[in-house]
Amino acid sequence: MEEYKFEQRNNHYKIAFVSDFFYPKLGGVEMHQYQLAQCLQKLGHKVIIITNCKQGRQGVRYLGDGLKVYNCPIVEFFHGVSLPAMFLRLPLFRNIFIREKIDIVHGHQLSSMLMYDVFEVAKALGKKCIFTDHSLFNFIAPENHITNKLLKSFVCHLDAAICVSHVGKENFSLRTRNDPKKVYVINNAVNTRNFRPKEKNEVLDFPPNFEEKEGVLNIIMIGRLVKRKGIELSLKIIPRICQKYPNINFIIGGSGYGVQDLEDMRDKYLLNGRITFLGDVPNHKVRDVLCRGKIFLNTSLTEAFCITILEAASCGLFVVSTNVGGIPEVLPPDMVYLTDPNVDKLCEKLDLAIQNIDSIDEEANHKVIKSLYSWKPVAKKTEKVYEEVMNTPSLCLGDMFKLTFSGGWLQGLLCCMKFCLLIFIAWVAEYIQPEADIDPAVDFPVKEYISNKEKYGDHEFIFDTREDSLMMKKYPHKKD
Amino acid sequence: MLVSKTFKNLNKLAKGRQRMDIRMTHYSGCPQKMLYYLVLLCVIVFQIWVIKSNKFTVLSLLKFTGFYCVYVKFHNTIHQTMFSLFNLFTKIIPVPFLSTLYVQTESLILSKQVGIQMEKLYFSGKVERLFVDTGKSNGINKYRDVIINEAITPWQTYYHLAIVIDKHEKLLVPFFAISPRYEVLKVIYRHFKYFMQDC
Repeated sequence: MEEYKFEQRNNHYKIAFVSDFFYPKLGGVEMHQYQLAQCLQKLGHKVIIITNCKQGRQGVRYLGDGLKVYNCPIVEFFHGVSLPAMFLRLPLFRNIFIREKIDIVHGHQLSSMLMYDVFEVAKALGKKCIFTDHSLFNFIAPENHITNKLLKSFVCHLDAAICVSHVGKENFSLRTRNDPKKVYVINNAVNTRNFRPKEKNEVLDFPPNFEEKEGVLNIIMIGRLVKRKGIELSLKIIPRICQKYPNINFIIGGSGYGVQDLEDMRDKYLLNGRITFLGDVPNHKVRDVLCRGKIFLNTSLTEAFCITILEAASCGLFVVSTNVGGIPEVLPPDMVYLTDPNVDKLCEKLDLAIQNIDSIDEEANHKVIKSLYSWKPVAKKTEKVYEEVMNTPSLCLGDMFKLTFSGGWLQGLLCCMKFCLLIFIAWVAEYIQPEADIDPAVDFPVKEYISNKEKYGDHEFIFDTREDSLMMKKYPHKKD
Repeated sequence: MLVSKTFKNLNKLAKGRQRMDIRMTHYSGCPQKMLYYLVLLCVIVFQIWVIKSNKFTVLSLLKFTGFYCVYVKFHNTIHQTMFSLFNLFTKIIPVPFLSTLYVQTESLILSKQVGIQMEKLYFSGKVERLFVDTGKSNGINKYRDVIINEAITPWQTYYHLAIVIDKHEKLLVPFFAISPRYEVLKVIYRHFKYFMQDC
């Protein structure tokens, strides 16, 4: 167990993470949020998370090490995303901001509609807003013309934006015509303690009843089986490689609408024993699947920052992938072969990798990635962003109204009206439920909990030990 | 009042002669409108008075009926168009039943060997009770623990006291209508928990 040193600081901020995507759904965005929140708490800040109703969960919950999650009574509409309702949710979020005394609101992922609601409320109440972008978007498709235009009304009020790679920063600032000085680049990371290479004499649990044959090389692909992730390329690569090398098998994990095409391909080329489909792999078993192979294949067509590649490399696999988006920024050139998304070129690189397979040192690769990527430096970099944001003074109302016109005169008018409406409703909410009537929330004692977990034995919330000792004298415990 | 005075004089003048009755109804007269809203105010004040009064007795019933007769007569004479079903169902009919919804007192009685009793008294005199078992018998509601819980509604998040029971998913909430502030809850929770710590 590492010892956490709590440094003495003057500035401890109170931060709210907002997004539609959180536990129990586990993906890149969710893990990013969870790990960042844990690291920021250990640095001394206070972090809470606001999400919608995930699979019927509703209420206030505490995850590991005292991380507070508000599952608000908002219904999931489509793939975990909630419907936007602008000013009807103002009282709830205003209540949360006041009782937790929040300074900064940090939103994740553009496709979460809850984030837009909360940002508008935060702006009407005068809080600082920050946003991280985890994906790239197109310029050409007609639907993106509209979304990029509408984004301007959201982005103009932002205090800072964080992107996950330099390519992502370019994409974001060009799309929204934002000042690139306000956009920061902070990379994602991976938990290298969980993703270790396979040790000697280790028995892997997942997939169950999997026959390991000698002399067989496994190539692994994990990801959503969707057009965006390049199924069309893999449909042509797999039969070629299987015909050329008789000792190679494929393991494919993940689900999506492309499963049908892959199964048709398997039946057509008679590869029944050589390809296995695992379906959805639970998050804690991904490492077991990765350790069964030596090469990882990634054929995605757009990617801002690919975490699956990182996980594979930290397990000691050699990576072959397309050089699309932010992928070239992820791994050092020793561990990866990059090409254009073309079937012939990918097959060439796979041949090279298969020939050079004996020269891979899994432990060395794991150590390199352990030194390069971890969540603590990511948390420290975001802390610097928070410091800069809090030290800049906030704009007055007149300037905020002027900023709404940065997307055009018509959009500006509509946004001004929306903003006025929100300020008026905040005033009405203050009249009905004033600030003095709202009880401040009790903070979880993170420092004391981590230093002595046994004292908080059966998940008891200890507050005011002096009063508790008085009570124990008054009502003595009688042992029968 | 003004209408009846003018008619009185006319009747005296036209005693022996041929009479022609002309009747005019006021649709929007300024002084009558003000009177109507004054009466509405009185009705609202009366509703509040009913809610704050102690019990639903025969005297209060008589006061209700007397006032309603005057109210209805007033409506019939002047503003027949204003008197509608909407007013009837929202302002007149629910008033005597409101006292069954508003809670006067909520109380808790604790005893270690016997159990816990939660009591709710309404303004109409109705009482609701709920009993929670403690002790070694395997009753239906067996007491296990007391907690302070946070609840989220679409309007706000608030703290409330809750009693945890064996073999049931839902929590019992003793002080629901009153929902005291956190400082008060702390005191109640501490005394409750340390008093019942042996069960």
